[in-house]
Amino acid sequence: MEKDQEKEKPLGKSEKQELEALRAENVKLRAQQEAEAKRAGSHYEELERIKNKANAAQLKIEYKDSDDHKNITLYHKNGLYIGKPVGPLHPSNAEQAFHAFRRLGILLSLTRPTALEISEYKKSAEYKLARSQFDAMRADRKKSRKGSEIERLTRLIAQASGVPENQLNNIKGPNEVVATNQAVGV
Amino acid sequence: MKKFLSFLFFILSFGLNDRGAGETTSTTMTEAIPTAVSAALLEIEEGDVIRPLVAQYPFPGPGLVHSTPIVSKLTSEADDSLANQALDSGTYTGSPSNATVGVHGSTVFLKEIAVLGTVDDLMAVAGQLIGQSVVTKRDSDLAALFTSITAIEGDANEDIVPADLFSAYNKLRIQLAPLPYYLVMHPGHIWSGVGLVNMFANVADANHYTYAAAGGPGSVGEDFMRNGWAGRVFGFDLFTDANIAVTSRAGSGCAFSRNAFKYVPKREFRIDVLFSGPEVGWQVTGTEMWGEAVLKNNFGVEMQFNTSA
Repeated sequence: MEKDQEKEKPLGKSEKQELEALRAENVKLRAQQEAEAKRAGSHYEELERIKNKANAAQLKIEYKDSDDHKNITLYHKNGLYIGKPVGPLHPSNAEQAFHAFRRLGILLSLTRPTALEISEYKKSAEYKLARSQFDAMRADRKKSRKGSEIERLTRLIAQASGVPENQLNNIKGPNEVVATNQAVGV
Repeated sequence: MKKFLSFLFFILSFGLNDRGAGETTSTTMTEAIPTAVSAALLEIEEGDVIRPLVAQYPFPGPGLVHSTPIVSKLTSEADDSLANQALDSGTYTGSPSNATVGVHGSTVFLKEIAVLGTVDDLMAVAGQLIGQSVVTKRDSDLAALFTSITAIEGDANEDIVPADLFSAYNKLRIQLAPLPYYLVMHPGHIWSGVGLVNMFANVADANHYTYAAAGGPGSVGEDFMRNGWAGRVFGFDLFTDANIAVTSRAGSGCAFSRNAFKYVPKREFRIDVLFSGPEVGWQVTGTEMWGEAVLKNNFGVEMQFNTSA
């Protein structure tokens, strides 16, 4: 309590003067700092201006590609691969690619389909059919041909015992395990 | 007295040898010590991977469009009254295959003051970089043709599995494409976490081929393990090409027979050097003229798969 009272004691005259002097010095130092920063900034800017004005061309070596044609990228406008780029191709190859895909019912275009066009097309029956066939094909390719011995044995045990397969190998995940006294029926 | 002076000298020499006592070091003489500049290393570019694998049709004479007609096959009849069959180059799908020749090149302007002031032979450096850029352009143009093949395996977000390669082989074989079959892939298609090498991991199922007991040959896996590379996989001669463009992890390699594509060189690579008096420097230009096109579309299969996990 006495210490708190000591803290709340008002400043004496000399202490006030000292505080004011410190504040004034702080303001002065801040102003000096800002001025320095401005000078440094303008110094840097001046260096940049000198470099730009000087335009030291002997330090530059110009390099340029030269082709007499511009390659073109086309995009699938429909089909399973809508939005897929084709190219960049020489203009005559782009025309041949256009005809080749057209024969298969795929339209290529210089304009890339927008995200909205793609999402709208993906709702069509044509795309859904192609996609489902493709997904089924990928799933078939990715699964193991050999099959699992455990699956075969589980099936046999299920048939012999009458217990459903999903109960025979029903191993719970770590978040599903409960304490014994919390288990259902205990 | 003498002893005192020598003792004093001994003490002073210790004092003068203290740090910061006027020593001459590499720091005080920095401005007088030259910096050695070694010969520059040039940025590496992928080389001429695809050109040796495709059909070559040199085209030195007049004309800018190289046209290859493809004649349709005949059908043998079992009849003693045969009908005439025309030799027809117009009915085969994709006939004729046309390649338009174009000019490809790069140019560099070397200021004489830069040539004189550089440690390296700047003319040789320019020539090498120009040559590399032209080779890369050719390889990139040929790689871009992969996406114009209409038979496609995979998709933008699919990882390659063995069945994809067998399917590609099947398609080429059905179309009677002549052997050998080449498989040109991006390095990520081979060595990334979703690449070919994963098919030879030590997992015993039909998607992995490690040892005889798993039903597949182990020597290819051993080649990958020993050399980091196998020259032949699943019936294809394997090549890797970093010039294949990758977009959002997906890149399009290709499984193909030689006659799937054609390369038509018109004029070989040439460097021209011209001195410009007003500009005080040399214009160094390297150019080459060629065309490329799909020759037989059904002799190729685009392989579009992920190049990274």
